[in-house]
Amino acid sequence: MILSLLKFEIIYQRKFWALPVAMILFFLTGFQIGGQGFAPDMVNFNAPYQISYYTSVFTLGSVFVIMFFAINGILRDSTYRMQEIMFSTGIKKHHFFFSRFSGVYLFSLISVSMLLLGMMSGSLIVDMDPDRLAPFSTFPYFWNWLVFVMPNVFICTGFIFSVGLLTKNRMSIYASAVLIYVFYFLSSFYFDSPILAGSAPTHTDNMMLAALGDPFGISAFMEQSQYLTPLQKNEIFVSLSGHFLLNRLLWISISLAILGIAYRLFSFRTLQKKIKKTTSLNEPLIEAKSTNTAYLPLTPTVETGKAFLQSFLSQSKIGIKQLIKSLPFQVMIMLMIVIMSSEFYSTLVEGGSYSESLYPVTAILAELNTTAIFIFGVLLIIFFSGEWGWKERTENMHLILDATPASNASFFWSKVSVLIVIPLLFITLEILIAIVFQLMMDYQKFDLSRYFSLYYYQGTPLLFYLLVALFIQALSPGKYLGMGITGLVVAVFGTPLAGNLGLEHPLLRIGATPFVSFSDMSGVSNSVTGFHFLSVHWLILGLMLSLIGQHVWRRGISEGFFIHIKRIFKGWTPYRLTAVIVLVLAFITTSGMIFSKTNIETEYVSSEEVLDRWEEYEKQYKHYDEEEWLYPISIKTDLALYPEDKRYKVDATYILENKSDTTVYRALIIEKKPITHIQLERAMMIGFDSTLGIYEFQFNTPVLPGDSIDLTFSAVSEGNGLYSGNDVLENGSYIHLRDFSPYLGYSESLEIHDKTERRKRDLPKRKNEQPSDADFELMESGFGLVDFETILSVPIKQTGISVGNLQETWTEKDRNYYRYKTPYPVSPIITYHSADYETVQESYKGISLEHYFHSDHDFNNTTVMNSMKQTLDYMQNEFGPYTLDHLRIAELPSFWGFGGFAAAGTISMVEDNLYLVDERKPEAFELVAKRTIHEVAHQWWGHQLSTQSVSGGQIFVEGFAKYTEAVVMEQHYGMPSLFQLGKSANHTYFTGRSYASTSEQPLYLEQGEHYMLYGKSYIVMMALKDLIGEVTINKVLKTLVERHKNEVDATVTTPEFLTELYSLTSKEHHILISDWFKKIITYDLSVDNAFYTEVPGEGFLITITINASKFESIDGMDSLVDMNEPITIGVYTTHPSDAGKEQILSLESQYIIGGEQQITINVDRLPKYVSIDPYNTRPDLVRSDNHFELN
Amino acid sequence: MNILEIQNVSKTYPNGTKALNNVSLTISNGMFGLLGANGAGKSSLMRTIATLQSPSSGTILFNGVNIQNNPDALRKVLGFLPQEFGVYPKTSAVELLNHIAVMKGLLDKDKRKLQIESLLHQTNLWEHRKKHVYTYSGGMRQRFGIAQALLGDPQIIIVDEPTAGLDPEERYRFLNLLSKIGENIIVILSTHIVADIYNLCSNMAVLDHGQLVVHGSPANLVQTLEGQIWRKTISAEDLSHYREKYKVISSRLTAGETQIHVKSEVSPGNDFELVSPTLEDYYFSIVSTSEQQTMGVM
Repeated sequence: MILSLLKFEIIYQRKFWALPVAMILFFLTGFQIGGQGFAPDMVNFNAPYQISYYTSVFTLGSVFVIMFFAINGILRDSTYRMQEIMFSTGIKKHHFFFSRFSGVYLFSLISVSMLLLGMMSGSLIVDMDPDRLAPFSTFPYFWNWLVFVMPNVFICTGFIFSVGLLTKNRMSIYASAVLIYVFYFLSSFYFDSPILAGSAPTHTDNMMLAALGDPFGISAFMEQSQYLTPLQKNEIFVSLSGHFLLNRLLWISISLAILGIAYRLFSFRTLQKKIKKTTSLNEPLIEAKSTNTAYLPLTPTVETGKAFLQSFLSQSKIGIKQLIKSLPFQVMIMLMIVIMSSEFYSTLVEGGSYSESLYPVTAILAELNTTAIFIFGVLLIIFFSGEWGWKERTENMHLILDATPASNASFFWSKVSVLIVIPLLFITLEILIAIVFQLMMDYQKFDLSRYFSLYYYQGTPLLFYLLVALFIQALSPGKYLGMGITGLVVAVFGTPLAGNLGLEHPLLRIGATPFVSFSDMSGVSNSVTGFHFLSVHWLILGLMLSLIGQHVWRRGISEGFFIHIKRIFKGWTPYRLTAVIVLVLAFITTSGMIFSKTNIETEYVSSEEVLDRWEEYEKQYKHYDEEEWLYPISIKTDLALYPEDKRYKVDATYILENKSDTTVYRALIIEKKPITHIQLERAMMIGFDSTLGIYEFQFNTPVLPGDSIDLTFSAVSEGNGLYSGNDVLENGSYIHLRDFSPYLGYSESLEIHDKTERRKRDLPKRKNEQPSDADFELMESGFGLVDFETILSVPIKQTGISVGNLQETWTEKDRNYYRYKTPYPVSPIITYHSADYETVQESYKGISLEHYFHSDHDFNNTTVMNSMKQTLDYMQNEFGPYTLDHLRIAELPSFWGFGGFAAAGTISMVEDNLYLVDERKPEAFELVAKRTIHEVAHQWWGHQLSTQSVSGGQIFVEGFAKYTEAVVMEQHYGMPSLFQLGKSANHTYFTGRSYASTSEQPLYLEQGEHYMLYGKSYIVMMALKDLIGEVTINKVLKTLVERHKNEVDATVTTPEFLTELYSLTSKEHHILISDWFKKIITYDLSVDNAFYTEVPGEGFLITITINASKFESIDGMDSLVDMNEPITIGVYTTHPSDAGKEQILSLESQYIIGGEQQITINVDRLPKYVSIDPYNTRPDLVRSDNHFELN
Repeated sequence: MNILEIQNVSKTYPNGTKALNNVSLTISNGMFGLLGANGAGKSSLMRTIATLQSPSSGTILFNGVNIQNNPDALRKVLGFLPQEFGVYPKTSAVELLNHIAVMKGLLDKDKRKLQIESLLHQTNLWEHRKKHVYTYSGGMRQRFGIAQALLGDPQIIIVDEPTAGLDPEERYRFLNLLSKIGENIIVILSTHIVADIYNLCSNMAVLDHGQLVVHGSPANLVQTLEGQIWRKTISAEDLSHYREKYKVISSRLTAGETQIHVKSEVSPGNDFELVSPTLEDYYFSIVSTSEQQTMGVM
């Protein structure tokens, strides 16, 4: 019986067009993925990791097909009013249930499985870089089908089917589909999950929750694979173990449970009851009392305007009421509240990478939910445009209403007004929740105008798509087709997919508007210009489409599709036609304006053309690569900043010197900002390539070694076009010298890097030089220190800051002028700032400490000032005097993503990474101090001890600055801050290496990778500190500083550092030091067990079982190596993360060998926690097992 | 005086069904009945007149205005009750009537309220006015449909099977109301109940397979059969025998016996009894035979 029903089910559904369409769509998607040749560097295109990644992510799409088949499988009886017949036949409940469920499941599974077939075909058929393809095998695909496709489709089907069966309501089915996404969305907060990538930093503590909470298992997979190195990604399959296994089991069980509940609750009788309910209102026979009331005719109005308005209002009222009353909508609103609140919460409360909290400043809150509102807004708009556009038809009320004289316009625009409720409600809720957060967090500055602007910034894109959605529904022969087409339009034009499809020009990306972000200091990002233009442009298009949509709005019986389409061209009233023509003209005008902004005001270069240009560049100028350059030894600039026009112009004079020992005959100069004038002393311009902005000069008299000549140029940066960067803002401009300073000589960094692209263009393979000891022999002299002098002019209300001593200031023609000059050569890292700053100035030991910040952002001023002093004290004490008479810190708007930036004597700090960090809670990590210490430390590390761009060179800059953070923070904030620093460094290291684009090097050969500098080097320096002590390290560092501090061209290298280290340390430590610096070593340390016995009079004897292993990574694979080294064991009365001096009972090194071992420690108070390597001096992937709680 | 002129109207659906085939008809004030079997094209014709679908060819003029080009001219004065209709869920009768009234252009709030109240009384829905129409029984919903059709000041009322689902008393009351209103306006009524048309309609038309078979005044049409209808009570098994032998236009079971009506200009023989023809006889006499010519009898 079940079988035959299932057979019927299959035959029935097969007739339905959705199955082949879904199969084709999934196949094509798979084909596109499989053949696109994209994978992180060093990972094969068809690596098991890549297959898992794409399979898991694209099963998200299964929800749509399942929803479709579920509606079709469950609701068809009621849609076609078959239920009475259906349910009165001899079918048993379980027959019905299982056949319908398997029908939906089977069809969804077949559709989604095509994804993998597509991926296989893609990887086999498309021609891709063979170096990046592992030999083809079906197994990885099958495995991923087994662990992702099968369960995910089952889980989603179980849920959606059950909801559908119990409610018999289409909207509830949509709602259940959205609910599944919400689970995914919430889980993905905690991972850099695709689709919502980067929405929040990783919260390691909540990983388990996130891994389990995601019904698709994507977060669990991400968690499992987050620390895999690229080479491991090529080998290792997602394994059914740990949280991933739990996730799969959990969700399959949940799904089974829901199905079970649905099976129990569902009965034919409930359905019949429902049917009966409609007939239950049998009227008691009433005496016909007032039958003789006369019929009163009532003449309708002749005022069409008034009639339109009233019928529009009446329809809107009914529609909005229905929308708001509908349970699914209410559920979705509740979900949206949950989503938005968690986004606020996870950002504001201990959400940063150092678990820092932020002040709930309106500008921060305002942009947090823009993406969520867009995604869920669009989803709801797609659903409700179908539902609402066809409401009267679905309810079969259209014949009555369509025969009234109410105008098409009133029908169409009332639909618009119903759908508008969705974004309006979302945004209003967002604002209310944000205000609640501000109140809860005791912050009372509600920036209402910013809040109101969200209706514009977040509402406009949705408004456009909702007009498009209704236009599509007006033309579409069916609501589902309309929903599908709308979905496709949004996906193709409104998401990053557009770029993949080659739609780059803003005019081609229909409905897409740039993301506008906010800053409390600077207002809105410069993308707002583009936003204004494009939102007006698309709204005009939206209005145009609306007029067409209302014109062809269906009245009465539906016509054939083509007859319907023909109506677009017929029956226009002159009035309406004029409106359309006006809109068309307006649209052409805005198109023209946008075109002019994009293509004429600025040069428009598609990404393909960009590649063409750099190909041309390489072919034309590569020969210059072998020639020596001239390097600046003195830089003078005169920079005039016009923030109101987003423009600056700069006149510069460089003195260039031939630092090589060969004669230079020619020079190549490549502009960055358009150069309006350029002159090279003793040289003649022999070539100018205006497309690439390349100038070739020939010296009349060659430049001999040691000779120097003048280069003068003027450059301008016009804030033209739709998207000018955020460097020049009305308040808070920030310009780097490197932004406009041209390349002097051929730069390899401009060449095309992508291997496939190079192969396609017949460019030779780039030499991929393995870093090695040889690097230290071939050090080229180059950018050394320069004398710097500048004049900086800014508007009268702003303060201009640059590098050097402030020589003079004056005011002229409503502008402030500043002249800065360095007393001695400095690193050519030069910044220019301008904003309406408030200032705090203090003299400290002969140094003028200056702090420039945005008014209202004075929360952390004391900490900043104290940290400057503390760091100066420590550094001057240990490494020699600070050599400038000033130390400045200036605030930058939050559009800049870095933690801080240190030019000589002038430090840049970012609004939301320092100024808005909320440290009111006493237990909060002192991030403000950390960042300040770090940047002040750079005055030595990077400035006094400067370095070349050479393998390992950044250790002297970032490695030592990280080390300084630790020692200064330990001094002033105690051990808990070390715990947090270690934890963050460890996480940085392991996450970074798993996404590395080049193979990992030992620390002394680092190539400037973020995870090496801020992760590994910190960990190693802390290990070193434990091994040889702070005093010895500082001695080594001081030696280096003293030896190198007056060099114009830096020469310090890691071998030199290591030699110094070896000379001051005992021989037995050398192996270990080499391990850390010259090998890639990781550890796995854990406390497996610990117990204590109380010894009367002597305190407590703790016996600790420790398990330790040490690995060396060779060619990306880890192998176990011998271990015998001192590692700190801590005993605490509280968790080591919170333990200050008082809570530390013992903190001593013990020699730990590989494998399991027992050690004993005596303490005098009752111990609570035991921890091996509590402060993370060893890279150790799993840290949670390092700490053990004693009972 | 309102005049509705239907000129050579044909309607072919995309699937090829010819729902209306060259129908021409002129209708003026008074009740007009449409008779025809299921699928004969009644609903198609009514919906075409109600501007809910456009004819494939032909024109319809209402008071001289082409309603295809200017549908609002008709919609403004139209009351329409479709054969089947649904309503928004969770909306009461008063709310819905109010809504439809506004859509019909009744903007004066007080007057609108007055008319709605009076219609609710007349359709006996007053007690239930605050209940959701969605939960109404079939008869109540039908009365609601009637109420909404009468909103405004319709000059043409089109009611498709309006009495389906009504009990006899309700049906009587409704038809009464219609005929009162119908004195000064056009009322087009389709029904299965032939007697209703005979009693109420001054004019009628019969549709069969999309074609207009006949139109005229019911009394005149019936009169053409005077002296030609014969009745006999027979046993059920003889029916086929009679069908072969005579032109049997209808047969029905009364009290367990089969009664047949036979059309014949002369007495068909023994035991047949001459009866005075009814509209039903007339209807069956034209649709059950293969004579498909149009007969215009006024």
